[in-house]
Amino acid sequence: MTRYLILRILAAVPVLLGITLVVFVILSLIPGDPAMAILGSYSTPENVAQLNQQLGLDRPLFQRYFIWLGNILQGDFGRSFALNRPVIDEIIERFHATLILSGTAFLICSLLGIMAGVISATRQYSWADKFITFSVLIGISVPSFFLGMMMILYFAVQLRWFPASGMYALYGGGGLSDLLSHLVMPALALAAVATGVIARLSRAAMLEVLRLDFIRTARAKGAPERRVILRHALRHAIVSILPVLGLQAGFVLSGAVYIEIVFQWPGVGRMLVDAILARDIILVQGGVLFVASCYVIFNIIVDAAQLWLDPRVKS
Amino acid sequence: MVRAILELTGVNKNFILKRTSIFEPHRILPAVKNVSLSIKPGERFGIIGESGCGKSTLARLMVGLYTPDGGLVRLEGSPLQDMPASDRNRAIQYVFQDPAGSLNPRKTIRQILATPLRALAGLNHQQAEIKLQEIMVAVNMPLSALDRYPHEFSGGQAQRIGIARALLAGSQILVLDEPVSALDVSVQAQLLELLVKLKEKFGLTYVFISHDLAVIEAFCEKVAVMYYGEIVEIGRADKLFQQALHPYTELLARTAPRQNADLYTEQQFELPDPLNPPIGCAFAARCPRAEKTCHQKKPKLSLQKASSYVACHFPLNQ
Amino acid sequence: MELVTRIIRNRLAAFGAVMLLLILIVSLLTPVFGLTDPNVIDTSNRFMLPFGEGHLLGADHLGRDILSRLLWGTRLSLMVGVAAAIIAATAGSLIGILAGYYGGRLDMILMRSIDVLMAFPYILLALAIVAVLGPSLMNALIAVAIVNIPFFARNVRGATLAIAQSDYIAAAKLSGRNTFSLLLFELMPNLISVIVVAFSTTVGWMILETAGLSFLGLGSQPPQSDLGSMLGEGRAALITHPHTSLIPGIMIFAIVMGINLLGDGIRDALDPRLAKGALRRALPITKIDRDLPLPRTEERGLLSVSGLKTDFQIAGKTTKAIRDVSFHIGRGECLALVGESGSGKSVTALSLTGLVASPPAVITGGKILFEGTDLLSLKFEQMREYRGKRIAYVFQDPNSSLHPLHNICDQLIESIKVHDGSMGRRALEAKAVQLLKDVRIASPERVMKSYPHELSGGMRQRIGIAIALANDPELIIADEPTTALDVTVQAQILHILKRLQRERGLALLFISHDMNVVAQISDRIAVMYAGQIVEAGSTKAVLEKPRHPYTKALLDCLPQLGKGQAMPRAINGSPPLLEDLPDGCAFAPRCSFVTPACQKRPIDVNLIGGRSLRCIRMELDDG
Repeated sequence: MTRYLILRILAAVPVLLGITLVVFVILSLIPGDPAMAILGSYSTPENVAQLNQQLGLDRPLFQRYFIWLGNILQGDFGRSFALNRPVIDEIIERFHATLILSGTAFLICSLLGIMAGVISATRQYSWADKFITFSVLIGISVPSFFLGMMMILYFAVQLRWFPASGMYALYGGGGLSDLLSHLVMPALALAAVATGVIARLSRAAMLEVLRLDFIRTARAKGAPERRVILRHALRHAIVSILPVLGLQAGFVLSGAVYIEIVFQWPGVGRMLVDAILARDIILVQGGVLFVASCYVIFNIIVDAAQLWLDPRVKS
Repeated sequence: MVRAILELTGVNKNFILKRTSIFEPHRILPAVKNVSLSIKPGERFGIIGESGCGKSTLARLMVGLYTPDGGLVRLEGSPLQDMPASDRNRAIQYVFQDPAGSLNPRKTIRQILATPLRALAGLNHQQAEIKLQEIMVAVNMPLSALDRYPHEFSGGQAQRIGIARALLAGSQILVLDEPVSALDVSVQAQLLELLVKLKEKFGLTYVFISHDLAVIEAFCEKVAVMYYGEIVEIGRADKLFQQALHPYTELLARTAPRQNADLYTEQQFELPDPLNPPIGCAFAARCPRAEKTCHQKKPKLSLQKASSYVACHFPLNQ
Repeated sequence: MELVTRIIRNRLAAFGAVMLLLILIVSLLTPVFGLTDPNVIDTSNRFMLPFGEGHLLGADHLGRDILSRLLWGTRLSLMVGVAAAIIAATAGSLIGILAGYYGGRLDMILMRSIDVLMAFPYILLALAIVAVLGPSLMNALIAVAIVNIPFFARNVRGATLAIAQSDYIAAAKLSGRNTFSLLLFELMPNLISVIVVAFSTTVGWMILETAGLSFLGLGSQPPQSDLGSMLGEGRAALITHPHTSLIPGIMIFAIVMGINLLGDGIRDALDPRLAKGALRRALPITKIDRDLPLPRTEERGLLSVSGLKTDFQIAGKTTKAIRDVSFHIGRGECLALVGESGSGKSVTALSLTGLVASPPAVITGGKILFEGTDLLSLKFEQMREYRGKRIAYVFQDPNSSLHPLHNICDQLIESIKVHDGSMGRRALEAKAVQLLKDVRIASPERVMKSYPHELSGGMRQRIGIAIALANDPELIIADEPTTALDVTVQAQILHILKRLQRERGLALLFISHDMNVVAQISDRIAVMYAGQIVEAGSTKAVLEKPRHPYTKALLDCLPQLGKGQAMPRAINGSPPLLEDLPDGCAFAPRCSFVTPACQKRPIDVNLIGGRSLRCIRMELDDG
């Protein structure tokens, strides 16, 4: 088990390197002179050359990559010119907010999705199943940003149940209950699509498993139906649901960008969109790299869970 | 002495197992180990063994679906590896174990059967059509079957189509890989009858692979017994199971179910690990006659008496 | 064509298709509608509500006509989304085919690159691409296409790999196809459905994603505007003038919903399992709907079955899997049910405790008396008291009938625990070890901790038997317990079964297709054909002097070891289709003794000299 985990972590190293390479290459493809972009209207040939040298931009590409990579490994993601502060400080501050939002949404979609899938499969073609199937269909068809907007319109403006935007109230906020009341709508809007996908998949996985031979063995043993469904069928279905949970975590992180814009949540997604519009490339670079690396680590955790759940993986 | 139509000398095949990580060493599974065989024209040559003994791998080596890692496969004297694929396919063909799986589900039978006629025999549309009708008659299938899709046929019918496909390549040698194992007994007998008829009609040579002793005995003239990738005994089919020379052959013969004999079973044993094969005889661990030498030295396949070969330090006739 | 009818039959999919078609037609015809220019600004009409004068759907914050903008925007969104999907599908499929077919190093390089792309949450990659190329609709299209390539590449590679290893590709190679024609004519036709399914799942997504990028202001730039940017612009006035966001939002929803409905329909239509009802959930106990009156049954021995009928009801068609089956087993007796595939022997075995998957199975008649109780009159909870406790099963494939994720210990003690909750863990484990010893497992402690995949087929089947023995049942039903095993292992398993049966006085119902195996283990034989028992009697007598023509033919076509090179005698024709059984004897078309009377009416069972027979030849014969 430990050995496998170590191997799995080692196998992630090339992927992480690949990510840095992709991020670096993509962002060095930007047409035009970054120094010129940074200096804007203050640029003169002299200070452009000076800045280029400062930034190491006069060296060959591959050399720059290794210098950049070395800096990244030491936690130096460069400086954002638009915000005039170290990129890493900004990212960590923003990522905290994104993590709260996406983490909550991920928990909601995993639990709700699997539960809905199991109910739907075990009561196939019942009213509960039809209701779930219909909700799932709507959930996966509605754009999350539109859903978020509708929620603001109804729950914040009309019913005044929850605040319309932000993470904390501007005045007198800051406690956990304040955070939660701000979190409910964005987290639900963000979880909607993933919940649908997971519910659908869990339903299919359960139906498939319920047809397998070992289910018949469990029934032939005289096991009660509840046990057959939970201990035998769900236990097996989880193994095929888990990788999809890993995949959906990526979708939740992605969806967070829209939701953060709609609900003005101070997360990495909003930061990235602002940075792109401001052409703050260093910040974009750092943000993309940081979040992608976190996602790789998350996937290692998913794999570890898979290993723990499925003894067959080891051999 | 008649020259061999198909000859294998010291053929080896290893499979490299998939690794779970690039940091692991490659694990090698030797599937076929140092196999030598010689099959004469017109012969019905049987190969028998239990699952995982390498008999299917051996069959695929014979038709060039696999390339050997060592040794030579010769077709009428010339090495298979050096022949162009089309010559090889014209000379030797293969019939698959799973009759339905060997027919492309999206093609009609006509399209499937026309492929060898076009690609190997180089016939035009009209010539091909005549051949198609002839072969359907030969394998007892209605002409209407030509325009249907594989899923519309039963196992026995699909297997007839598989045989027809092999015959249309025009080859004289058919390697039949468990051709009747997936079929019900009543259909199995029909297919065996058909094979006998086709052999006479087209002058074919058969390599017949099976795990069923009774089928092999009824159908074949000569048999090779495989165990853990090696041939342990070769002999005449009608004698082999009655007067086995190798203890493994004897075990097979005694455990095979029959109506007029009581149940027989051997004592507890542990099967050898195919990834770490024993140095000596692979069967030694479960052999009642095994002695020290058996665990230390691998016995060679050697001539015992009138065209009977056995790989055993202490064959049963001694 | 069949596909189209199947989609139409699916009401939801048809609804989706119609909705999508309407949107498509409208967006195609947009230029000829003669709408107001979508970009004409008229500040006097700012935020005009729908149904206002000259503006059916109102006007936006610049007073532009929303209807016109909506239709033009839909056109643009559809075009961009579909274009992105086509690019992603083409590139991804190509990568997938190359990687899957050629394998080796090429596969490794391509798939590792795909892995790196997959390691990004998709929007990050899209944002990075847009950051480089600059915000524009074209660039959004490229970004969305690129981030969706991995999905196609992976799916197509998986499918290619499976197809490339299939026997029919090997057969095509042997038929002389070269690589190019192999890929084009053998592989592609089978891949199309995979690509279509992948396309139908992602095209909706890609429309959403491009709209999303526009929504963020990174896609279409003013004055050009798609649905996403309309929604983005409307957001500023969300609270005051919701109609400017509602209208484009609902349109995106309608498009994606339509695509998803149609896509689901396509997937269902392409999935052969659905047509066969294989994805219906099986009830815990077979549905029972018996014809009345129930047969009067005289009780003989432990288990007496009379007039048992089980049907399969699939898509409105009824297949009679077993028709009027009667037999009995005494304590300590071994009865073998022999027959070819489709003869109904397994359905019979599973019907006894209601284990036939239902739907599609329905037990439509008969009585099963076990110690005086009619098992078919029991409710599920009552039946549970019999299952595994008094009647236990050993199944055919030990590979699939053990739970792959539970260890042997848990699987063994579960069978005890579900019937007797009083035993502690220690006692349960001790009992489990004893069970393993009973089936002659040499190192039970080690095996207890193992998982099924770590054991050989023979070992697994011993565990299957140990599970059956757990509660000292009175009857064990072994459904082809050795079919998946090699001969030497088969002999061991048969030996264990026979010994246990003798030692414990078990009744054993042994299902097999192999007369030779049956000969060695059973006391009595019942031969099944097309859902009926055609002959039953003591094993010795039936083998020595078969009376039913089918029994005789079946024995004749089975090669016997020790007979030398003697070709077995084949039975002509093939077994009847259960959906289309004749009125008379089902074997008549293949029988060499057939008379016109055989095909007129159903044949009844006759009892003669300890033999039961379904053949009229008996009546004519000497008996």
